[in-house]
Amino acid sequence: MSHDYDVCVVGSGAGGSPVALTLARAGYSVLVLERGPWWHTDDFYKDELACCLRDVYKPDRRDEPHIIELEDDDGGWLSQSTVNSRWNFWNGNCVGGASNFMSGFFHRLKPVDFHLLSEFGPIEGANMADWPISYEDLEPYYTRVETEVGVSGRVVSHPHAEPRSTPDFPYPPLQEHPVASLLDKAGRKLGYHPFPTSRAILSRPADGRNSCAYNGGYCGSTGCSTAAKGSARVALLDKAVKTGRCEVRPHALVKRIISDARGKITGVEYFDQAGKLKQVDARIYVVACQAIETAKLLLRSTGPKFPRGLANGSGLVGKNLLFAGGGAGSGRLLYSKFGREEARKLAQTGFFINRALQDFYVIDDPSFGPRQKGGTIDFVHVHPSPVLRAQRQLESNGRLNWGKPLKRILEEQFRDGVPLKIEAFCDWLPVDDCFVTLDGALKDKWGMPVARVRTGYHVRNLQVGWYLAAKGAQMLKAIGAEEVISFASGAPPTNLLAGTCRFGHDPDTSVLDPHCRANELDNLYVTDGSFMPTGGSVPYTWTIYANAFRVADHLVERLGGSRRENI
Amino acid sequence: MKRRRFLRWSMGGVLMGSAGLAGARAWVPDFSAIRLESTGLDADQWALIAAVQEHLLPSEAAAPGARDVNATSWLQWVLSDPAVESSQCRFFRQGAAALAELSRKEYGKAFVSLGAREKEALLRKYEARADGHGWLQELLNYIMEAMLTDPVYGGNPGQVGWKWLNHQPGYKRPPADKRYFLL
Repeated sequence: MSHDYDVCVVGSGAGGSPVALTLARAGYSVLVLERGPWWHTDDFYKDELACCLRDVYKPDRRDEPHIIELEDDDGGWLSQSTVNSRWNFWNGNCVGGASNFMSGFFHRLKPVDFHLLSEFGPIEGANMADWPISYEDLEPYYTRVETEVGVSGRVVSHPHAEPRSTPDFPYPPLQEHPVASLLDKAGRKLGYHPFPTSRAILSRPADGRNSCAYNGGYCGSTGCSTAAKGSARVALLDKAVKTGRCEVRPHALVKRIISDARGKITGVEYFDQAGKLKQVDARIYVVACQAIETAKLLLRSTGPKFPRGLANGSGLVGKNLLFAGGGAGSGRLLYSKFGREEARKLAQTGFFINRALQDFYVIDDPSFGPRQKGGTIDFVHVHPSPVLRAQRQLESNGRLNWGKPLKRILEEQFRDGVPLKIEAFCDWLPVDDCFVTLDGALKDKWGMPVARVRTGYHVRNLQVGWYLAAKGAQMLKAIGAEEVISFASGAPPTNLLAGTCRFGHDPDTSVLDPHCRANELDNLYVTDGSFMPTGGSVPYTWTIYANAFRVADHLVERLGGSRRENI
Repeated sequence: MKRRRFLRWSMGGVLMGSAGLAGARAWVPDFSAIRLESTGLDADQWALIAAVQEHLLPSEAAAPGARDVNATSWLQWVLSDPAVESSQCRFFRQGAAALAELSRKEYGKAFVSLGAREKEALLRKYEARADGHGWLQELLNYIMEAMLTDPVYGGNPGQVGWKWLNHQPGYKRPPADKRYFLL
């Protein structure tokens, strides 16, 4: 039977692009459907209006809101639409997806993350599960990402460092801001092991991409103007397209995956840019739209054999949504504490701090409780976005600041020191009250049900978040920072999404099999962060990339191996 | 209504030789051609807003104020965007009307005629009201935008706001033909 394409990938971000590249290289025809536009490197600027104040890279929430449910004080759930709210669950809506706008803080998971249930036992109120694969299964793919996507860094041994098959990163570390060596010294004195944070940012030109232009903390939320950042678009899709066997179709919003009475997928139906419905079919379908959108697509793709949604025999599609748990903190290192030359170096904002602590990746601290999973602490510049920073100074204790007093506050905040931030990552434990469903009433502008997202969290997230953030604050104080605060929050970080289609060995308790194939369907795979039953205590992107390469190798094998030699 | 307003904007663009007029996003701001009526606020209300902005961010010899960063025309530009909901214009109009009324009630004259101390007292009084607090905060938010966004959008002329606060812009800065509404 002939098909339009060998493989149809829905979503062009970190989950879809490794599949597109691997299959196209192996000689198979690939179609990538992306709902957003195809912006190129020349379209991305350090433009705070575009990225952060007008949300140009995301869908308009008036057209496509989410309904979110937040826990109230009495244990009930308050629903609100994200239209005109501070909540926005959309991320990158364009070719390359959210990977265009990531900061690229790249940490691997660690062996322990693959078997939290066996290692630490059950946690009451959390749906803990071991992964059906081990770190050793994924390690070669983490390594492949280092070269394919481009990861810069330097391996430094520390007590929770994960094993690796290569001695060091293929790209040397990026230029460092002087705060990095202050943190190294302070950390050693405290008995900790700060190490360089590896980044998905090229430190030297490669593959037609330029190296970093050094914008300091500007990477997050903005697209890269030199192609140094390892977005799925520049690092993978552009290469896939060059093979001549991968077509990327932007402005193609998939309405549903169609299945027949026998439960076979017959095609994908999508809206083109003009709003017309089109259809394509393929031998293999790969869904990678990010956790919430992937669940939405499967749930609305009902068919004669799948009345509850595609791949949803277990009823688990949309369940066990993961964000990233953790804490945060901040402080300011005043120039007045340093000599003139040192202060001048501290004031340059281009280079990166790039320091992390994983001494507490597992917390073995009797004063805190039994041995348990901890997390990662990253030290970063405060994002330089000046409007947002200034707007945070407009109110003190419920009273607005204005006039000359406001101007003096702004001068102090912007000119007198380096604003520093702690980002602590711990597991967002999978719980019953964190999930995605289709709203029964509200439709988006395409006439499709919007997502209803319940955002419940486990109190353990907060406990560990506070613990880690306090350790970060201890470091900031040790380098002499002022106004140091740290805290944890149960609020979901909307740019760090995983879960909703967990993989596993048992079809009754998982949506996907260990190859990320949907349990009830022979030719449907999910390769974004949805597969994760637990998320680990690091940002997700590296793991999503690595797992998608793993699934892609499986697909090549399944389709009969590479059709081409010398690749 | 919005469509008509949009067409007038386009016409203005053609007459002034602006680029990029194809498609629904071809809304090219031009401060010299601001059509105040498209915002729904009249000239007196805009004069009041300008006076409030100057009070909220006064000019100083070594530090720019609202006037130096084009804060008023910035807000006019924001509110004349066809994509902005009419509720946003109504919000600023109603706030301006409420403050004008409060000024007449408290001092018997227009806000623009008040001295600096009277303005301060009146704005603090207005701030104590829920509607006043929100209105002033939004004004401040847009003053910060005018002061600290890329000069290509018309605020922050000559990077005056960035220079004042030692902000180093990132690479690359947006050129005129890649402003966000043209992407």
